[in-house]
Amino acid sequence: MPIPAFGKVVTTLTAVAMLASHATLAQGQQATVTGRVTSQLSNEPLVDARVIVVGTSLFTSTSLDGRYTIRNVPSGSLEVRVLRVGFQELKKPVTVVPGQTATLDFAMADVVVQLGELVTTATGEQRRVELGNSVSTVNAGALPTTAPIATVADLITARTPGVQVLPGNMTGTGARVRIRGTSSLSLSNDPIYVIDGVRMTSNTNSSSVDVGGSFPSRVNDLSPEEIDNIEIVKGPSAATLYGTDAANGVIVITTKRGRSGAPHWNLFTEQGAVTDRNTYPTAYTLWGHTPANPTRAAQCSLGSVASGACIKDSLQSFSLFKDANTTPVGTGYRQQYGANLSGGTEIIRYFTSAEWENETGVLKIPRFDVNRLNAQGVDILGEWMHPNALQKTSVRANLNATVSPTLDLALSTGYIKHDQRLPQADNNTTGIWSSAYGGPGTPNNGNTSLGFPKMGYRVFTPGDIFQETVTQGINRFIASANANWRPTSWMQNRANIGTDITDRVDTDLCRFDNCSDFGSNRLGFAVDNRTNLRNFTVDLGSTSSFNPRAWLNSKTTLGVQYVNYRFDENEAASSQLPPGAQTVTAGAVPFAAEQTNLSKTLGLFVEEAAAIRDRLFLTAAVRTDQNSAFGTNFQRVYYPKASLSYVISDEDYFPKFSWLGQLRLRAAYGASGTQPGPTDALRFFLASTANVDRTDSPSILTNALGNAALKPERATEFESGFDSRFFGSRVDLEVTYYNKLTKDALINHVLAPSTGAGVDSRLENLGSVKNAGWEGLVSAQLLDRRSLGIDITLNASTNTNKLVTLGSGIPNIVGSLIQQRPGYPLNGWWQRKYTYQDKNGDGLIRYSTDPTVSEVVVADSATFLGSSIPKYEAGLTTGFDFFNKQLRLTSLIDYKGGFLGDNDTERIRCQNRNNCRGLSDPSAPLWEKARVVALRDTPARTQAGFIEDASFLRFRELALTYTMPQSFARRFLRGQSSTLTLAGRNLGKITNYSGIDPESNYGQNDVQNDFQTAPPSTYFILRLNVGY
Amino acid sequence: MSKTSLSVAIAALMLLGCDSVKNTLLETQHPDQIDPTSLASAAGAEALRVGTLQRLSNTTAGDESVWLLGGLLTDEWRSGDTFNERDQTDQRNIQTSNANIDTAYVSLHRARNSAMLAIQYLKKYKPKPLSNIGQMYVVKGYAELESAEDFCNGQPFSNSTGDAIAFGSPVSAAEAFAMASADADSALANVSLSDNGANGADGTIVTYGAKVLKARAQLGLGNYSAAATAVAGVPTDFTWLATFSLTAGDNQIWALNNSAKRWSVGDSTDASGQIANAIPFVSSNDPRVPSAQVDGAGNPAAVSFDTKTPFFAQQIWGRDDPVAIFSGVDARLIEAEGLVNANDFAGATAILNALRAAPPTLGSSDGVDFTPAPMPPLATPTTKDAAVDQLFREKAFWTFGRGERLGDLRRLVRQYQRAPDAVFPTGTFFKGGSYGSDVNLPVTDPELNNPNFHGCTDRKA
Repeated sequence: MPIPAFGKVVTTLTAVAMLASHATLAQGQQATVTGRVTSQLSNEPLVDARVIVVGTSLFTSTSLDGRYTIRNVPSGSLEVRVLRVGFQELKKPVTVVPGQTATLDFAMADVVVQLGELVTTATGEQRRVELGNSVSTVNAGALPTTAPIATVADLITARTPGVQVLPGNMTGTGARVRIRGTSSLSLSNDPIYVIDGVRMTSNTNSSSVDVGGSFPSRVNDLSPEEIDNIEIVKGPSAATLYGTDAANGVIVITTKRGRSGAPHWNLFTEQGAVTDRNTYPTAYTLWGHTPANPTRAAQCSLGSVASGACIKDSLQSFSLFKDANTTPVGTGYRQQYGANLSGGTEIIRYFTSAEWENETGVLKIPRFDVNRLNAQGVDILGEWMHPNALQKTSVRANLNATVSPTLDLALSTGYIKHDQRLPQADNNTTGIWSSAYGGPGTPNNGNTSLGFPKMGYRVFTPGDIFQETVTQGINRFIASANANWRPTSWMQNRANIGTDITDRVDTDLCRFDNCSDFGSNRLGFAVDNRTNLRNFTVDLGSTSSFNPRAWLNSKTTLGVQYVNYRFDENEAASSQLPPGAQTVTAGAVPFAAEQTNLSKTLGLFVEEAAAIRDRLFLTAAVRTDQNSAFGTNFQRVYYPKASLSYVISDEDYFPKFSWLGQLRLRAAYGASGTQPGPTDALRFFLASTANVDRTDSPSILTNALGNAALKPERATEFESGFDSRFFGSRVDLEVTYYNKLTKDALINHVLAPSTGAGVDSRLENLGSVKNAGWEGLVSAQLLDRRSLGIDITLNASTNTNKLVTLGSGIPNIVGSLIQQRPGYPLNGWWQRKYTYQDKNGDGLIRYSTDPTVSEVVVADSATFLGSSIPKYEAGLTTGFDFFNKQLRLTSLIDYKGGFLGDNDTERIRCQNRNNCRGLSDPSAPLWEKARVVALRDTPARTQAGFIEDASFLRFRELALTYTMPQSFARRFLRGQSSTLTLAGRNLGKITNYSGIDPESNYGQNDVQNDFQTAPPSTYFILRLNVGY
Repeated sequence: MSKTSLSVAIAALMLLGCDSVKNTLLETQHPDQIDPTSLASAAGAEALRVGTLQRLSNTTAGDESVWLLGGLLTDEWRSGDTFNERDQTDQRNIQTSNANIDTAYVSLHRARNSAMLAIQYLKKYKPKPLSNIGQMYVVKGYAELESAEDFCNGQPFSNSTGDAIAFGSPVSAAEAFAMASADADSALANVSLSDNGANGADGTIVTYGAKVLKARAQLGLGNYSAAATAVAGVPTDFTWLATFSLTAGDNQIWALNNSAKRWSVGDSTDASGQIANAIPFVSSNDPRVPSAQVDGAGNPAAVSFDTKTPFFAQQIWGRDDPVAIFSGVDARLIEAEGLVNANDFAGATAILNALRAAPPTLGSSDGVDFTPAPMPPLATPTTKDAAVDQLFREKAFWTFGRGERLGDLRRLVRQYQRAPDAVFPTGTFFKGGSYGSDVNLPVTDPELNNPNFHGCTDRKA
């Protein structure tokens, strides 16, 4: 780590601070403001309200009794503002006399949604009302208590407009998150994550062992229990100051903090079932004979029956999922235990927590295979019986200290231990789904190559498949230190320094004479890959504010940010193990590999913010970045931004309506980037081992050609909208329009194979991509009575995505299903469309080269079918409070629409497994038969019939929370408070998608993969919280 | 100090400080990559030469190469797979988006470009032994030969060894054969028979390899006599081997056929009945192409990976057994073809019968040499058509799996005026539908990124 270099930066900032200190001494005599903040409704004191002296750097937070004190306040006439989540902000004038104390109390009114709350920006905390851009906030602190939340992805799914989450479907697998569409063709479209001020490792598909596609994401390492809130900075207009890599949005996570007061314990436990409520496809086999050989049984297809090539005799059908003896799907279990403690004084506050959870997925060895293994005398290991499981331990300790009236320090530390087990699945010959979805219409389909009944499975049975054990062990430490120093009333300096260190161990073990009989698997192999992922962040900033006029406040912020990411991996493996061996060293054929990736970004920024009469807020800023991944011919990138926020309803000229509380107009423009991969700019060669003349020899292979002119993708975005509050703060409405254009889009320019380059493509700054859409958020308290309260929050968004250009001379990128063509969405579905008609009325569809006979007609060329990512999404959260809010019922409905999914599981069943209904069942609907004929019998072999409308409406969450009477908690639990929550997740869906589930997917890639993969599970959770 | 000047001072200090440290902060080293400067030495040039030989191996049995795919398009192999790409090729109906074909096509050009780069470095940093340079010319020429034999007309040959890519323009198969022949000449001009292979390439092997290369290129051009002349003196037991190991990579003929069961040895019958024109590699029980229904571990295996196609595993090569890229058998067969075209059918048959009487070693299975049992002599044909039939059938067995079958079938169409449907597998395809009309492999879509290439000129043989 180049500490000396940092030393120089720190020295620089120290010099700045010293200058500032001198300036402090030059100030005149100062005073103190103190007071108490209470709820207007209940008159109860409000803890953690932020009290700010307007136009200065001075602020503090209220203590448990609602009291605050701000010292070193410049004398004269001032305004003091108070902010708190759930209450309407208040501002009062006060005149302070040098050397004296002024008292100023506040009584705050409740609101449904908080336009005036603080948000965390790249320049520090800022009032939301001052921002020209939209920032979505998930108040995550209480969600795990009142909703079925198991992962960070669960926290943000369907809760904010413009944020699309495609969940992982197996226990411990990660989600795909996209914010305001897909911008990059060849780079990651994942947002970046910042936790407590420092960059968080958030790698998706994070495993070095391939199980077919379902991988963990490092985002889900975090325990939702530790998170206080999540702010989602959606695009370049807002993310400019986060710099290179922030073009896909920034998810800012703040962990829980202690509050001053007596120690407060909170204990909780969660017990639940992971169930499967999916309808799996039935396998069909149509038996018949050919006219030429009536005595020899042959498997017919309906297409061959229609053409007369086959004469059907009988139809077999079987669903191994419906047979208790053969199904690999059972019921998993989830349990969680945790405790946290918070408290402290005005000087020092603490939050500590510890949590342990264990989840077992739904997969199991079916009964017939258990019996078979028992009969063989095989000791069935627990890891085979339940191949999908996750055990996680999280410990956190956060400390906040008010060292002096001008200096606050915070220390955040979190440790995560995580043990994951994943089965072979998905796009994988030895995967469970490949065999379970691919068998014939009978359980009597012969034996495996090992001589045991397949019982309806295609090739391998679960008892062998699950003997291959893949694990991932995570030891992760995230720590940050934050300082906020206000040497004068007009200057605020902040420093965030932190690291996120992940130690990952991936293993894959197949003991001798175990596992599927595929290749040389049963000779045994062991894999032990060790990876270190490190993020190191230094983020320094200084803000000066002054008031050149009574109506004008100016804030200038200068900042420097350094992010250093390092990925080190050592892979060790061996094959051909002796009996009983489990280690890499035991294998006869060793393998070793090493991989290193480095990425470093150094950014500087300056921001000028002006507040005019505290209702018009103008901001302009620029950030410049240098990055180790840029080409040698490209040294520095500049990202500008400008924004406007105008609380127009505060103007005297604005008409007053009784129903309108506040109206704010806002607009923002900004740029940000996405950096290329660490080595994309370099021309380099690779070392390899070659066998020449029967001798292994070191060799060098030609590899990447490099691109010296490589620079980051540059995304510019304009957004505008308004926030408004109606009917006495009962209804809030936010509307935003955004238009994002990514230029210099980094595209993997395919290298003509005849160039003989060692790689298939190289990144070039070629194309441009546009994303535009609307976002809306409505929150309303429809009813607020003692006996019944009703509140709803509806978020909705649209996204129109278009590849504007691929670059001059670059041919369209044509894949078998996905094409990249200017004028169409990125990753759009393209196929040759077909039409069908049952001309002879025989209920079958036939293809013939004779167009007068053929009942399927396929277009000559592929055309655009539709988008692969949702164009429309909405989330509706509804809450009902009963019995003076003692009982609360909440639900979350999730809608995604305007996109097509590839039902690739059914496609391979029809094309290769020969077991789908449309291929074999004469009673299948005509459309199902037609798509099979179009796929199998026409020369075009079009898959268009399997690219289907994947829109869905999902009953995502339902939770019933009962707040038990305090007397009950005291008497039976010896606590102060207690709640009991019964919740369910993924409870039902409405969709026209003919696959198992429109969210069936593996991986966290731009295009959803419903190919022999797992559908979502349904969770039922019972949770008890007790406060002490 | 005013607030404004203080702010400016802060900015200046921060920028100054960061400028002075930025190089340190942004410096990165990527230990798993080799910088081009590392090649500027004799050791670097040697490592590049060895890497080029690995690239060459990948165009043969070291990967799913034109050897395998050409054999799949013809009758050597059957697709026992579920991947459409392999089924397309087997069915002679290949899409230009076919990823397997693309891999094989790329592999040829990687070997060719790597050889060109190695020649540059060897000449500059390690000019001795000279045969190293000749060896690289053979690699380059072999890639051009295979490309000409297997791919469509109008394929380009680009060059990425310089600072900028030099995109090639489409050339005909004949022009590609001429390039290969010229490279064979260059190889012969850069070889020394005194190089014994102790410190690099063996001059004798390079010489024989270059001769067989030149002869095959001449065959492609229809110059039968020149081809026969080129291989004069190449001993029958000569082999230039692609070798394999557990560490460096398995023999992919074994891996894809015996182990993965995605490929099966072809035969003249299948579930749909007789396959027109296909040689019965399995059912003929010819000693040169032994096959069995066992998997890579030796366990019984009746069906292929797709669980439907009957499975037959070749028994010539084991997991890490070498395969001959050039051989003396090739030389004899080329001489026989020269005699057939000189209407010396007896002479041609004599060569064939000499091979049958004392078969050379064709491979090794799990380290044990595979030498076919002697076979009875063939009768001398009386017509040229019969002589051609006999020669090409014999050649199919002698060269099974070694990347010659597709080129030979194309030559039967191009040079011997046979109709494609009289040469290639034709009729009902065993996985549904009928065989298509492909007689070569298409240049794949990614080549459209070459501004000079707009698709195959034609797909003729």
